[in-house]
Amino acid sequence: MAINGLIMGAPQLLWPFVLIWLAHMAIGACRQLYDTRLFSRLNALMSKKAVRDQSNDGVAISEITARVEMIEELVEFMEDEMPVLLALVVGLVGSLALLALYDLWWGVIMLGLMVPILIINAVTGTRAYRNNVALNTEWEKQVEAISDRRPRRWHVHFGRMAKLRIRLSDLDAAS
Amino acid sequence: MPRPDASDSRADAALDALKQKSLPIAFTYLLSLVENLFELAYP
Repeated sequence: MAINGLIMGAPQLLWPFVLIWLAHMAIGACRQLYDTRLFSRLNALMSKKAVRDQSNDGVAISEITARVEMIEELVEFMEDEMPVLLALVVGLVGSLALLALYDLWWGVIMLGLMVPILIINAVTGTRAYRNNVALNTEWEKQVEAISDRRPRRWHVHFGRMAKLRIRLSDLDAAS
Repeated sequence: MPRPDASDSRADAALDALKQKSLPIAFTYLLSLVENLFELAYP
């Protein structure tokens, strides 16, 4: 409509486009202002709670440091990656629904094609979870391993970290 | 990148804080979905 308006010499037809663009920019800016504050405060709150509770429980400083870094990663994931994943899921469900409305059988066939994908994801997801547990456990030993000042210990620790990261990446590629 | 094993007991304290903020988090995700919808309006 906006392009037709320009071609036909009727610039007033551009207004709906301008209004939509302004609303988009306003919502985008508000969301950014809000979520930066929310996730930064959430990170601080989670880290404070973890440090307080685990210091009281006598957990080693090496483990607490690693857990604070893990909290930061979790919050980053929730802030940056979760909205993208949600948009993908909504897009997928919407596309399937539209396809089913257009032709029910094609909708059912596409839904059926998702079953093997879900099975592969479930299998690789379980393995990735176990790998993450092992990686996080190793990560918790990092400060202790570095302060030990024994090259052999550094070699073992960073070697294990590399091995677990490679395994995680391979599982990611397989899924 | 490694992610925290959230269901592990190591993450209990942090998960309590997460539950407290679940509504505002859901609101930001809703805003983000609305923002994505606007992109459909562009030629």
